[in-house]
Amino acid sequence: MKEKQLACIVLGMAIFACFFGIMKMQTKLQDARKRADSAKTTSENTNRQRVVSSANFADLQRKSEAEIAYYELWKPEFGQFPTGERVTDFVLKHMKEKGVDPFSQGMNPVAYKDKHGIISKLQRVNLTCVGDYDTVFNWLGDLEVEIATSRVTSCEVTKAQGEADIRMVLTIDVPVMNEDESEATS
Amino acid sequence: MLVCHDLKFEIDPVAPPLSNGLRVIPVLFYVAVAGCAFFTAYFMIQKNASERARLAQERVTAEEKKKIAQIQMKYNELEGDVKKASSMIDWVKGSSPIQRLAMTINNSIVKTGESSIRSLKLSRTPESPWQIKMALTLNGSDAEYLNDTLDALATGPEKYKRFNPQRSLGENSVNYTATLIRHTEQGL
Repeated sequence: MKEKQLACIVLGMAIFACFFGIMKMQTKLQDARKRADSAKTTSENTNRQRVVSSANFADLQRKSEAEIAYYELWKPEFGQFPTGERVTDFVLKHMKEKGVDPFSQGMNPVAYKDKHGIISKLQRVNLTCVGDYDTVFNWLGDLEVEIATSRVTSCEVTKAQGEADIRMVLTIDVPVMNEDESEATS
Repeated sequence: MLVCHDLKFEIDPVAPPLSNGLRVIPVLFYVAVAGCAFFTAYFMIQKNASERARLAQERVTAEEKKKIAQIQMKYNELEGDVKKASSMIDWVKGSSPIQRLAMTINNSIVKTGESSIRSLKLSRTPESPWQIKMALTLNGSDAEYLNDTLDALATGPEKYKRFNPQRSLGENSVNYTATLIRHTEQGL
């Protein structure tokens, strides 16, 4: 009798172990389902984020179409002079080609700050030219065309002394943009 | 027969059967073993399916994140280009050719043949480069000669508008100063 009762106790414990094991397995399954649900939610959120990002990008593309076309058009002009020396060389060579002798000249780099910090350096060219009216004005017109980004900040024309028609005192600013530097800035 | 009987072993008395209450335990045990086998298989299959689903979703998430990073990179690049374009537009708007303006002024004076330019100064300030400050001194004391120049500025191809004009008469000279803004740039 005692042995049979003992066997029943052992069987009871085995039944309990089975029950406990099943419960444990169910908990693990629930955890796995929770993790899968969480992964699904994260995936859905990420998908929504991607859709929003795409929409924002498309929106910016649409809104900035004109600016980007302008940028593509003017990029080569602004990239024409990566250093101030190139500006100086170009202006002096241009003057020589057009037969304008600089009465005096001075070229120096100047710091500049626009609202986005894209143009940070200018090469300032100070020139005094003396010559006949047509030559000097044609040269200035050509220079403004050939350096499309040039900005004449001051132009003073007076009657010259001697044989020459006019005396022109000029200050021209040319943005110096190094593509690598501007990339880093932006 | 007697010999056979004597050779028999003594048999222990057979244990009495379990009580009715305890008889259910072996039955429960078999049910538990079967249930355990069934549920273990079921839970394992379900768990593996969940794990596979989780891994698939995580792969999708990783892909989406990669796409978001790419879009963000393109967005930043485009935003940078827009900023550059904006700076370029500002610069170019403040860099209208001075030569054309100077020629317009000079031609208007030369056309009349009544006066001549003693000095002409055109300048810009860094704060508002689209505004051109003009300081013109004409030989002669008749301020009427200026009218042709002002007409030429207003009706010329660039249609300059004058702000804050000031005229003064000097010794055999007429001084005129004004701020000029091109018609197209007034919105700035």
